Amino acid sequence: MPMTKIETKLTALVLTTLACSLPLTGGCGERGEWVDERPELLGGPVAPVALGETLVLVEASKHSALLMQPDSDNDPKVVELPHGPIQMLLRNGAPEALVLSQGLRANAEEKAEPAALTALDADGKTRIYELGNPFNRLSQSDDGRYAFLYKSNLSERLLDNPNEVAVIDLDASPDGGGAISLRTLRSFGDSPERIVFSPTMTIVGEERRLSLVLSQTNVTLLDLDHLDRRETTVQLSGSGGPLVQPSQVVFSETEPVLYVRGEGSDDVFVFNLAERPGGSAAVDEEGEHNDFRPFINQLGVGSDPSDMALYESADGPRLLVVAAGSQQIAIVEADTSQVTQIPLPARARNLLLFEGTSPRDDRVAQRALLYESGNPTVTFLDLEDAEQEKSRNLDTLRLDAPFDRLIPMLDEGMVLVVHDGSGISLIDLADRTVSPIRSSQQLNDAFVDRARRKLWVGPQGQPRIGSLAFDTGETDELLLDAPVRSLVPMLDAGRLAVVHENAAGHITWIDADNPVRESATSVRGFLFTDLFDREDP
Amino acid sequence: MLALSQTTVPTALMASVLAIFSAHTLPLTALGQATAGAEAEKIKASTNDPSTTAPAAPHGGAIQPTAAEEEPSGEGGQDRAPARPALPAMPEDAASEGTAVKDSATATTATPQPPVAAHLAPGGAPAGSDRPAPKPMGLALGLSLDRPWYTDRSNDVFDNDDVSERFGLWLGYELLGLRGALGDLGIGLHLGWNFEDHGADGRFGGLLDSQLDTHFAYGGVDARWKLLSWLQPQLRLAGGAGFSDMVLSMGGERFKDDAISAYGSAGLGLLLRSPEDAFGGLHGGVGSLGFGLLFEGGYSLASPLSLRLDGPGPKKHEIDLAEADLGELERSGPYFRTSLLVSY
Repeated sequence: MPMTKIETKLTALVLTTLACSLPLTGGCGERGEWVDERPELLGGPVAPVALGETLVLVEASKHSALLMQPDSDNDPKVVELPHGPIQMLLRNGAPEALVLSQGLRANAEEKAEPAALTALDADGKTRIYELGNPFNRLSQSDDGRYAFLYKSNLSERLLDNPNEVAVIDLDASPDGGGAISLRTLRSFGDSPERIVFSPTMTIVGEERRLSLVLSQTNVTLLDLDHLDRRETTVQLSGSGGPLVQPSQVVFSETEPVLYVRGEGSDDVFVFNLAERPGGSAAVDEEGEHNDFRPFINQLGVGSDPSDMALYESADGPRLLVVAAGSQQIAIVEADTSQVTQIPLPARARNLLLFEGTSPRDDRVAQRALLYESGNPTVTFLDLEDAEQEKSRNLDTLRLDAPFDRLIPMLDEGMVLVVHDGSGISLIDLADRTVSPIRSSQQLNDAFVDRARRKLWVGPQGQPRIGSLAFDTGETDELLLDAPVRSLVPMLDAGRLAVVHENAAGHITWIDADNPVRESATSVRGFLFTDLFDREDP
Repeated sequence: MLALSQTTVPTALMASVLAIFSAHTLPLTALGQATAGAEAEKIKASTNDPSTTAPAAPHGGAIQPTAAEEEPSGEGGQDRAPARPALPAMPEDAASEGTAVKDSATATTATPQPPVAAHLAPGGAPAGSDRPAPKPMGLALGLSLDRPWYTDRSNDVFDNDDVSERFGLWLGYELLGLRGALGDLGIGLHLGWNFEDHGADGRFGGLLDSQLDTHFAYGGVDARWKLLSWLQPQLRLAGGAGFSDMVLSMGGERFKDDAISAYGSAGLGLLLRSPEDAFGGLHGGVGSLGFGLLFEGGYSLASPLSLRLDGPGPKKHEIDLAEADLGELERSGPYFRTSLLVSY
């Protein structure tokens, strides 16, 4: 039957509509970029930390912190952080994690975001201290009140001044004034390398604290109680002389005196902080000077001083210095600067002060352990009458292998020696004996459980953790279901958290009091929890 | 069960469409009779033999007395039809016709029924039309290609495009026919099966390969307006369930899970049919074959898939393991369906 005109037009309309609509159904709505971002738990300087019963992990791509608890049933609490988290550490003296973020550079799609330091507690509450320009190094004072931010080898920005620093008073609210102090240090061509915080010192009659910025050749003193005042910079290198790089600072407990050791110098520099001529009234075009300044003495202590410590003797404070170059130690009488030198029977570069008995002396007294990485021999020094007895107060102990590092366990009267290869050793400081502990793995991550008098180890890349009981010497191990990435002590909560190598996230919670598989629990895949429900980033 | 509860909207839509047609034709309770009556009328017209009308009565039930028999006429059936009003004249006509129904041997219903044939011209054409009514499609078998459009971002995990492909088979049968001022309406049921798979490699920075396979089983009802013999708009309501299997591969580990999603859909479409006489126009044999192309757009409302990471294991002595809950994968969205069908 032939079609009528109306039918013909209708047919054309229908076919045209269909032809136009078909292409619309293909290729619509391409995937979002969010599925290209790799979730990754940061390690290294952003390794997990424990806040009581809460484990804090940082996921960089989502610039978020994951707060997990053993009973949270694989449902981490997600806390948004400022962009670019690069470092996390536990705040000293407070149950908070400090996360340093570099912010975000402006790009075609996103506005710039400032760098920030975030103080994060176990409930997920944050205090965000905005810093402006990015920093990549973070140091904190022993009491956790101050955070010092500085830069090292930042090169992403178009222009960057490496002497920009920030001092954060973490006890102050970021919303109030005075919490953040940004400044640019005067420079003699170098930049900060390390930050040291002083204890509270009485300087010019006022109790105050300093932060010392150690750069390639200078020591800069910042008065934390008068951040509005100019800093004081001391060049250790004399004009035309060899470069001296400051590497260590120790503080007198009784006097406004500090001792600075520098690589490249055979002297120890003594900074005596005394009133500046003219006091705080001295003001120039760069601002107000501080009311003190360092008066500097130099002490000759032997060749290549490599470590030093202050101790209190019956006759007053003494400075003990290891002179590695001349294989001797120097004992400096702080008040008179008189130096007593004692040759060592074995090479040493470092020292560890401790109080305890010795095999020949039951009295608890000040003593020192002298050692050097890579050298199997350690030396004991009884300090009480060392200036008189000299070499007679020395005693050596030979380990069966060189060691990489040494972990003090002074409350236990022991020192844990981590050897270069596999295994560890325990040195009994009182008996001056050594207990070698063999291991099939290289034991880099070890920590002491003081409550249980145990040593825990969890070498990376293998599926076991081990423990050593100090009292009995018994060893034990626990098989896990996946290789270890990091072992995080949560000893206050009676647990250990083992973060496994797993792209989706895998944690095993271990009961520290009953470390068996039956009491352990695991969560896996938490990096993808609520993957389908997440909001657009 | 969210999807099921919300299918009341398309159901209401379907009811409205039916109401439009039924308001001008028959009460819905008489659909079966109407269909049988129409069929009887068509047979009569094709044979032009009054004797063929009588056997239709037992099947026609209440509509046994046809207009052709009651109306005096000296002309052919096609000329008689315009003498009847397009709608039953109430109440007088209804009363007289009701009386006629009660007189018939097959009057089993207490409700007076308007005679369907009163609205039909011989040959099944609507009143006032000289065109024969389209043949019912009967049984139809279709191949379908659905293009569901998953608008929720969660589906990015499994596919680069939001629009996917879903292949399937369906079987339909046109059960009922309605006739009214707007034309003929065919009501049919259908059952079908679909399969859809998604896969993506290298998601999340090369970390994850994903795969999601889903089998759909569904059934539904469609109302087809036989506007022209070759062009028939339709409304289709369907409901069913999707059975999904998910596999996520990460660093040598495979995580699996499965889930079931209930869904309902409503779509408007156009059926392009082959001409009725393309194969001879005869009933039975090859002559009853018809081909069609169906285009349909609509919306599918589905309950989301709740999926978890379910990794390898459990092994003997395995540490108690809690896997992650991935959340809910949204599966609702518009779709466009193309079907190639053959009817008999």
